[in-house]
Order: sequence, then C-alpha cells, then structure tokens
Amino acid sequence: MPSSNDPRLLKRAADATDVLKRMHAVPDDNNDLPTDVAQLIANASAQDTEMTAGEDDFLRELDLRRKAR
Amino acid sequence: MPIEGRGDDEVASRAQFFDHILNLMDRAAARRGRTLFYHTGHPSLLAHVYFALHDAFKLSYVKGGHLSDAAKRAAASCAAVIAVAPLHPNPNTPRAIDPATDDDVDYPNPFMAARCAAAFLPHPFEKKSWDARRRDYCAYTGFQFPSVDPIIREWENNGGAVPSKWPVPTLTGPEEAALCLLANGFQTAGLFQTPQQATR
Repeated sequence: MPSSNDPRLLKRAADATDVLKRMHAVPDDNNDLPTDVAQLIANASAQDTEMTAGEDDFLRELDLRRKAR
Repeated sequence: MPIEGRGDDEVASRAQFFDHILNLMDRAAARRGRTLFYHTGHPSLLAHVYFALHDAFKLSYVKGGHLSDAAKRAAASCAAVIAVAPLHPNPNTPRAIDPATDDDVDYPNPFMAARCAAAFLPHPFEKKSWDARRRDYCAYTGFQFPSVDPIIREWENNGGAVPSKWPVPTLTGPEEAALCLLANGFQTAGLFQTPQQATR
C-alpha cells in the first residue's frame, strides 16, 4: 500500500461506532445450555480452599512488597 | 422487578449464587482476622446488574434466540461485582485508611469478582503470577459500568430493593470493550493447564 502525504490520511480512518455497528452484524455462534446455578455454587465451593490460599498468598506478598519499598 | 425479559425466579436463583460467594468471601476474611460487611439486598442487586449487563452484551454478540456461553457469563458476573462493589469494611468503625498497613482493604471486591468468574470457567486463577493478578485486580477496580448506575441508585434509594422493571441497557463503547476483554481473558485462562511462574 503506498504511503502519501495526502491530508485526508491525517484523520482517523473510521468512526468506531460505525465500525462496531457493522462488526455486530456478524454475531458469535454460540448457543450453550442455560446456566445451572446449583453447579455454579458447587464449583465455587470446590474452588474455595484454593482461591482462599491464593488470596492469602497474594496479600502476604503485597505486605512484603509494601514493607520493602 | 427483574430486567425486562427475565423472571423473578431467575433473579432469585442468581442471587443465591452471589449470596454463596459473599459468604465464602466473608469466611475467608474471617480466617484472616477481618470482618466484611454487605447489605442483605446485595445478592439480589448483583443478580439484577448481572442480567442487565449480560443481556445487553448478548444483544450485540449472540444471535437472536441463542444462549450465551461461559466466557460471556463469567465476564458479566465479574462486571456485576465491579459495578456494585458490595464488600465493605465495618460501617460502624470508619477509619482512616493507612496504605502502609491496611493490606487488604482494597482487595475483597476484586477477589470476589475473580471468584465469580472462576465458577463459570474453572481455571488456576489463583496460580497466576503475583504481578498478573495485581494487574487483573487493578483492571477490575478501574472498569466502570455506568449503564447500570440507575439500577444501583434505585436500589440505594429504596432500602435495598429494585422496584422498577428496567429495560436492558445500551452499553457504552468502553463497557462493551471491557466485557469483551474480560470474556477473552477468562476464556484464555481456562486453557491454562499449569500454573505460571509463581515469582514472575
């Protein structure tokens, strides 16, 4: 593609709102099952120990980094 | 009243999920010697906001009549927590926050946002590197979802209830972009098979 000093090229190529409107015309192709809330709750419970440990580790490191500043 | 197109039963069911996560957060904080506070109406508000953001996102990204997927649902759940920020320090003992010592005062809500997303797309979120997690938590804290502010204001002004039937909002450009990036981030993280380097 040739470059040029055409002043029209100084402007943004397109308005994002217009571009997005055209992009939205082709949607995602998913069609999953409805959310199973009981399963979500079970997932959250199953992850709790690991997530809590991760949060604890994060806060410990945060404290160390603050003290080291 | 639920968002247009949704039933009271859907809001009540989703509120149970958010209530469960709030309780997990409360127990985790208690083990750290902290007490977190939230309003009894927060689970329901989170459900209202979830459906508002989810259904608005879906309008632009899913074919009519199709259901969304786990990544979009994870993103909308995370965004609902960000928009509402339900977890508070003790309202009876307001204190001056000392950034040198209050090591967790800013993190309960982004922690909760991460947990809500991880329930949809189980992934080793907690094993991300410290820097990566901090960037995630900063991003969650910085995202704004003004399209649901009227619902939240109504809830605040009605003692923790949403009496109106709200239409599905129109997302702003930044809101849409945030939801896209959240959905993609969770989807990518769901592919992790091994933790990242712990110290990176």
